[in-house]
Amino acid sequence: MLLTLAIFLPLLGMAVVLLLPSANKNLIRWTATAFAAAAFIPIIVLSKGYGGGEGDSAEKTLLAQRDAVVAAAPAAARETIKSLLKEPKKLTKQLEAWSDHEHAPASALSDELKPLAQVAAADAYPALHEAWELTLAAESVLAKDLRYVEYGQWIPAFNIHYFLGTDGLSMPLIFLTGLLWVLCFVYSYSIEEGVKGYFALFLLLETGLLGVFSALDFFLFYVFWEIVLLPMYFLIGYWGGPNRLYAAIKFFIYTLVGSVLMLVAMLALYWKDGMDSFNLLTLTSVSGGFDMHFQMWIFLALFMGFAIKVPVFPFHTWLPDAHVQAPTAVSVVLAGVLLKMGGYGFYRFSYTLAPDAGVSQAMVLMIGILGLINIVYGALCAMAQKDFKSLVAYSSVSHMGFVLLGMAAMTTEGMQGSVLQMFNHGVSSAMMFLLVGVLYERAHHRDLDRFGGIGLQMPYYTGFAIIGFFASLGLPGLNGFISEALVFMGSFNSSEFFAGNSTVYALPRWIVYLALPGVVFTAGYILWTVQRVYMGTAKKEEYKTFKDLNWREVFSLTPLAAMCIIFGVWPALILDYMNATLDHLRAFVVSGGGI
Amino acid sequence: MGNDFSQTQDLISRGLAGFIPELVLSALVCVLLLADLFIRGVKPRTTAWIATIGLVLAGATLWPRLAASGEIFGWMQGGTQQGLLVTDRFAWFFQMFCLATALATLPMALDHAAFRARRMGEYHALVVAATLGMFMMAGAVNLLIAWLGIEFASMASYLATAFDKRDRRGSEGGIKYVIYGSVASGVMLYGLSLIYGMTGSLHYGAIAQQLQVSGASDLGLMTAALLVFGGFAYKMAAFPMHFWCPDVYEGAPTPFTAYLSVASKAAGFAVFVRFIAAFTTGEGPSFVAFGSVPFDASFGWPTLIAAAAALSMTVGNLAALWQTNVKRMLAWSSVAQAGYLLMAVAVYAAGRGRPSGGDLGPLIFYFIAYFFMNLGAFHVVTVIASRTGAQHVEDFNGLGRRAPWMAFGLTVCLLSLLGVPPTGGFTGKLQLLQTAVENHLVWLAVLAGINTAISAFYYFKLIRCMYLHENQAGLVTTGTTNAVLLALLVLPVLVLGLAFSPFIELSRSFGF
Repeated sequence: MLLTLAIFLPLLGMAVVLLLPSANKNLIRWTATAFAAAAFIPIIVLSKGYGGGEGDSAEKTLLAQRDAVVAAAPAAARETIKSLLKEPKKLTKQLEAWSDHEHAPASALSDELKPLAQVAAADAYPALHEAWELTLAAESVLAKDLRYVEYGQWIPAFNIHYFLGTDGLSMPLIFLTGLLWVLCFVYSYSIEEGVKGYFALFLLLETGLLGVFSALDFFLFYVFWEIVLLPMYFLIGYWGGPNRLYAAIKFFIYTLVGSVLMLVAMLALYWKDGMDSFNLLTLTSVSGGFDMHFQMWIFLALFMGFAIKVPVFPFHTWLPDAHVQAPTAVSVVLAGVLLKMGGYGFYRFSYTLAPDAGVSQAMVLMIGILGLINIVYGALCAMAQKDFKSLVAYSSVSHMGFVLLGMAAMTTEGMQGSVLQMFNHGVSSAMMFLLVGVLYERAHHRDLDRFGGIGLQMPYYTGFAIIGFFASLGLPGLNGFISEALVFMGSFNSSEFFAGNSTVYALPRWIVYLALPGVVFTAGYILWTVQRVYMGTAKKEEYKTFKDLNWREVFSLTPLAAMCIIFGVWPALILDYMNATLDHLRAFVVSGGGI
Repeated sequence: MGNDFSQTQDLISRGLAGFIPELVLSALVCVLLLADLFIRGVKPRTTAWIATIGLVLAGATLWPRLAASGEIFGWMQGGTQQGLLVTDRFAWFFQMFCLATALATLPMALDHAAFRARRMGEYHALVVAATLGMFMMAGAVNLLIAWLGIEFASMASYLATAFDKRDRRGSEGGIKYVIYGSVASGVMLYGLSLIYGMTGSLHYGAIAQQLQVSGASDLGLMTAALLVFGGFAYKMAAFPMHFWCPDVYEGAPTPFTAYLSVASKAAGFAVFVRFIAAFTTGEGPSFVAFGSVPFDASFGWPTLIAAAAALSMTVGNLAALWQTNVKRMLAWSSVAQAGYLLMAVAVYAAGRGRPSGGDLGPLIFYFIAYFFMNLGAFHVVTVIASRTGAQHVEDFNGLGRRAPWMAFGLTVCLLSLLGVPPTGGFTGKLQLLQTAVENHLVWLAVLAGINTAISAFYYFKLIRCMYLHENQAGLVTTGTTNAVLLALLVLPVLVLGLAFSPFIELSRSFGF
């Protein structure tokens, strides 16, 4: 129930906000914040519980569900179903013959299924199918770590389920989402125009994101994925900068192109071998048996959907536009968690549904090289920017490249670094966008060359800025260092680790060597920015009148700065969440889907 | 001789018993025309009520036909019964569908500015007459009746399109419609005559039998197939006979455009699907008689329809991108929608006889969603246009503030036409894609996906104008009737998107 509560409290909040009078802006702001905070409570409980090993495991919940389904099946079929379920994978092939149970004559069924067709006719099929789905789901590698699982029927005609759960991969992102929303709402009190619509859409966005990170039914995931698009479109399009309309539709179209390809992949999986299943766990436990050709197409179609979101070169061009035009808080969540939908999607869907394709030579090289381009090209672009926000946007492109590099390596350290990088980038980039927003509200421009000497005027602000930017730079002692170092270690080790392994293509070292200069470029643009903006003397008289941070800004920045430092010196705090999940996933992929 | 006569009499009387809804509609046309002629100063509202009562009555008499099956106006020939019309669940669905469209567009017509000061009896009579033609289309199992139904519906549509005499664009649209319609009809008739010449029969079942027994000249059949398809495509507003669509949609009174875009398209699909069902066997993707010749193995109805689907959606969406007139935009959008729907027909034609094939559920489900979303969109356009004179996309600027509920309703309908969850358009398109992927038409599914992304541009153009562009003009008052109709059209769009499970079963049950 906790996940449902967290997902739908913001939706309820949206309904409440819409009913409030538009004139009373403060009431709307406080109500929206209250709902974001309320949604954060179950998330904190979940995080604490997950860390403490609480919550029923997916395996247990799903098997209990299965027993309930079998018990509810027609009495005459029950024993047959039970005996058939002892070998669920064998059953998969037979179900294909029966998937058109309305049309297929009983004589077409295999010997094992025949008694079932006689005793219970078509009534037995739904029960058998559901029980089969649940048995395989409970056996899948994901079920080992998923907890707080919620499972129920949604659209029986298409075997679509309301299926949620969280594990070490999604928990940090869910936590980050919950936190960022509270911080962003407090920061957004400076929004004066269309307050009601702004907070209502922002709350809807939270529902979509939390849903994306916890859905385990592919269809449900897709619905939440699309729900994210709409509020984002309006938030950029209405409250954004001068070129907001262009940026908003570009964001929408890019993401939509990716998601329709994802949809086709989803349908192809649904029809594969007559399995008729959207259950991610079920599909995961049979995906190792898919032929390579099919896996390649699935991987590529999913890759398009997720790569656009990450964004991976050459699909990254929507990102700077969206970031530059979006209002500050929207940029914060865009960089903080929306981009992670892509990275999360790779780990959650691509590698589980097409494990062999994921470690094939073509895909490893593609992901590795695109990651390399993201890192180096993103950093070079960032260096060339004149607009402060645009610089931070390109730094996101660069930093997300590390996620890809670690992923391509498929080693323990590489994956840890890659997933940790998603979280760390969520913290540090969110912080950087807030910092840019703070300055923009005072100076009303973002031209890097026209700043200077801010450090003298706003010492507290500059203190936060140094933490945020240096975390992004990867300074040891701050969080960015840990994840980038892990990614480099992992990707460097890949060729040694997988030496002699014929199924897994190891990430070649030359890619890592070429990616290394990216770190230098990153240091270059960050130090240069800090120098231009915060050091030296004020280039304009008006800068001397700037007031330091107000309470709202301090409130939004403090938790992020604290996380930059805490996870920098004590990364185990968060790595402990992820380790088990990532190890299991890695073992699954490396072993070719456990088959 | 006497025996024959009584048998014929028997057939006719039994046929008429199954023909009551159509008779009710025919009577309604007469009543409306007479009311318009003889009642002095008859108000639009009065004839609208007469039409409503008549349509509801027709619906009530149609209801029992849900359980009926079999052909009416038939005679025995060669051991099989050969009728003119068939009564089954499929026909019932599309007849009810057209009836409901006619009913839903009545209040829209009352609200239409150009209509307010006019005697409306004739308009209502024309809509009912068009519906009568569509009834015949939905049930036709005879080439001549199919053609007659199409002609009947078209004739009434030509007149209704040009109903507003003072509107030059309406007259222009009407003339264009007549010219395109005549060409399409002539082309189709030529194709039909070829089929008749080759098989010596007009009845679908008999033709199919004849083709299987004796075969026919392949070149002749291919020619006939292409020619006949032209006629059907014109009615479905699908490539390559879609050119009339934007001009007619723009010129016609908006309520009638709404009626055309929904009912006419549905009837076109109904008559086409029934034709296809008779002309494809279960032997895989091939036109009956083409199977015998090697080079024809790759050509056949499924290929032809899939190609038309691909071109319809692509051409429709690309053309819609450039439109600034809302009605023209929606016209091109409806061409694209015909492409999505044809996907289901292609799959149906390819899958006939296979255990999992021959499922018309997705087509019918999409039509249910299409009914609500397209009528909803046109309803808002009618209401806003009649109050503010809005015709162009920019005229909708700031509507989000000026008429929040109308703007919200239009947004939901547009998102549904685009196919974004959680709307009926999404679940409908999902099923279309699903059947395409299941039946190995992955390229078509991918193309439909890409088209969806393209269509986002123009659907969002309108949404953008409503919410993101400012307009200082005052609020638009819309009235209670319009608000109720809006709710009745928009809520189902959301229901179909969130709880569509029962509707899947329902729409499957209307196939044959």
